[in-house]
Amino acid sequence: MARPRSRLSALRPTARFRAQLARAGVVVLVVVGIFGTLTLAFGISVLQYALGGMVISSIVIVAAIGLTVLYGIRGFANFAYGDIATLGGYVALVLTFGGISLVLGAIITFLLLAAFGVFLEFAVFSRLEGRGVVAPLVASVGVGLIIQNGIRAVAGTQKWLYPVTLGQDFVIVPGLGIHPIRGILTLSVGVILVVAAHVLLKYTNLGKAMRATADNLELAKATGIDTRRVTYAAWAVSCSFASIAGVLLGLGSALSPTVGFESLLLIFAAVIVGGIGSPYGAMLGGLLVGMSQEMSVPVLVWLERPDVLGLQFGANYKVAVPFIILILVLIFRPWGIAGRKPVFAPRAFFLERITRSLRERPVSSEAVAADREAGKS
Amino acid sequence: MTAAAPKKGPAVEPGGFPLNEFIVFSLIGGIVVIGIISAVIAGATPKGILTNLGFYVSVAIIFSVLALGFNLQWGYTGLFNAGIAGFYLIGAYVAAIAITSPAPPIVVGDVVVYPGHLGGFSLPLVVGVLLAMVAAGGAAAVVALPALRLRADYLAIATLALAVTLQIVTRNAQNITGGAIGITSVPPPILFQGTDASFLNAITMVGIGGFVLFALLVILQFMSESPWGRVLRDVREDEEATMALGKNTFSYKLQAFALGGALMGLAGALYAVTLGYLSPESSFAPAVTFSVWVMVIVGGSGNNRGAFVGAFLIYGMEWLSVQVRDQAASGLAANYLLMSVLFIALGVGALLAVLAVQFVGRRVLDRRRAWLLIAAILGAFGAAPAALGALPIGWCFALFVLLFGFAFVVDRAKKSRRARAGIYAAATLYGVGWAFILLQQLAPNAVADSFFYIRLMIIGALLILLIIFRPEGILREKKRVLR
Repeated sequence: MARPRSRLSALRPTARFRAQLARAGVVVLVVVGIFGTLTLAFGISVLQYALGGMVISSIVIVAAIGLTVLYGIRGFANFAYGDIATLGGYVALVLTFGGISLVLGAIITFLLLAAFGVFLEFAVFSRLEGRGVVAPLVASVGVGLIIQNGIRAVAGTQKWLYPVTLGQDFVIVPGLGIHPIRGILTLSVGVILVVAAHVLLKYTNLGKAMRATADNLELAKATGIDTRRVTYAAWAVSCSFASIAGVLLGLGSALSPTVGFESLLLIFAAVIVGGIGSPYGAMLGGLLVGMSQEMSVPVLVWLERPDVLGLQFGANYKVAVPFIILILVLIFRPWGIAGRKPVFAPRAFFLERITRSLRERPVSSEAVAADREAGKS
Repeated sequence: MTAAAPKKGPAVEPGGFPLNEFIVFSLIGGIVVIGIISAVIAGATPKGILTNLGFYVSVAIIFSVLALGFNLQWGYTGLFNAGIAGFYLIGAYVAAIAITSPAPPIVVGDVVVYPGHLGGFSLPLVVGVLLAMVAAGGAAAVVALPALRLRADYLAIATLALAVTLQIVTRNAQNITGGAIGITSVPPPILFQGTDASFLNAITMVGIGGFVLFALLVILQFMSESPWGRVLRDVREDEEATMALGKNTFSYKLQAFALGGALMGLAGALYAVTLGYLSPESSFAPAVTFSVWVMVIVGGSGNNRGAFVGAFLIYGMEWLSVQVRDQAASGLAANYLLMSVLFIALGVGALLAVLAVQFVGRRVLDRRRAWLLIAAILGAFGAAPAALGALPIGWCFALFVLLFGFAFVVDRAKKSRRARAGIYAAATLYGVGWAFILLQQLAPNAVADSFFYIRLMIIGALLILLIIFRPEGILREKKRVLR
């Protein structure tokens, strides 16, 4: 006898979603617990650093989504990506100097840079299809050099500020403040773009085609996806996300010709930590990399004390943190923390090799001979 | 040989030399000639000119060593290194710390004038160089360990990360590296006194560098022809097949990468000694890495001779641009104009060379025709400035347009890709000269600054064009046929 189904059963979450919800709850609890403990132990400044980390992370996440979409579909590391972000920042700067408000300017920049990405694929990178991973990488460095030094030659090496009034920090609790533009605006733009990327990838035909192409180019072609169009779309998405990241970077401090190139390492670390070609991994990786970079500052400042290590300018070493994370991920999980282990995974170098050599019996010539005998009989 | 020479003839005729080598060496010669002429215009003494040229040659040698290291990694083994500047930096700093005398911090009142740096061990030069090679090679091995078993782009990202991080660490770790000021007094190999000191120093460095480069070329050529070098090339062509033949490809890749890194460390040590001071800002910027890529790709990857030639060519461009910038910065507008004219002359010379080759019409020049070509190019050097002095500038431009159009028609008629490339190169050189003249007219102050950046933009454009249209470089790798 069938149980009578309630009217609301259609809205009851599925088992899988409940499990995901539970997992997310555990993660949130753990994070809140860690920060709560740290705050109790070291004071409110920990939360201030965490907030700064969130802001940096949202920029890194926006940039990393753009980079990883292109990386997954086009299959090469775009070293010009940081400079494309810088270009976006400067285009928005020119537009605001032309009398347009920054928001409108950023939207126009978004569209202009999308067109620029399509142009790049058309003019340069489509000619390098099927030439391995290194040839397009070299070409992208060339593109980056042209953009970076073109900006230097035209706009000079000095720093530029957007003509917006920045205002004062908005104080939440004494000792914990957030800047209305550098903090709140950046965070909300980051959230909006993450949601936009999610909607694009999950709920549109283009997004499905993009994911399919990133997963398996040949199979996507075989199912009738126009992979050329998908490639152009990926360039447009990638470069437009880069431009927004560039504008946010310029808002965060100031625009300089190397502002994008300097954060390139952070973005690459986020992409690799998340697993190349996976936008959701890039979000997670961006959060991890950005947070750990900012949260390392108090530790480094502590190391500056003469009775500890006597490090000089400790806070400047925070840029080494993404490098360390990158190397650790390359050693232990080259396919990324969110990615699945591929069937033909590269062998982990240290641990696996040692354990395997302990587990396997040594191969001697007698053993080989014995195997051969066994095979014959 | 008659005009009906077969197109796919022998690469080198008896008594002649191949065209590509001819083009490369005449370009390097052109760079040297322009440098000398500009120095003469600026009123330098013969010794001053020689010192300047010696500087060019010794830094070009350093870049050659870098390019040889990168060629060992990428050209032979196919491992792409995006952090050349990092290994170069390690070599330079390790060598400098090892061979300088102690440098305590200098404090005047409360102000730290110079923060001092680690060490000052006053070791002999050879020990310093060896330490630099070991340190850079070790760093290369450590970075390569996790990244080598992955795809090529992982290695590129990891090495780039190392280079960027090292530059920042060097800038901040004041008590080890002297911070942004750097290490100021690296002793030269032989200490000279008196007015000729810089001249004698330059000559010494050219001698030492030349010896090192020659030895390296011989050793690397020997190694690349050995069974070990054959395995490296096999790894590049098909790693799975090499594994199937029972070779431990990981170990070979690691060896090649570490050796290449050690060579970059050697280049760093030479740099420290040549310049006598180190600072982290421009000498070890990522742009160094990209220049070395261009050098190897221009010369021809997988070819030691190509790496060396590419270094002399591309660093020559940089050196010339510094010369022109100095002329512009010195405020002597006439000198500057003359420099621009020289660029135009180089363009005209290259164009004449292309046309001559078109009419000669073969891949291999015999010695007589080669001399004729050299005469044509030198004639252009003399004739173009003279013509520019006698004719109004607008007429000269019209003349060039006519010449260019003529060349274009010839090119179309003959359908030769080589000639087209040559004409475009000539037009670029000519255009650079014209751009300088225009810039000088329009924005006299902008020239000196923008010069440097325009050079890097040219390098970027070269990277793109080369990788798309001529990935094998000017001097391509020798084809090896199994017998």
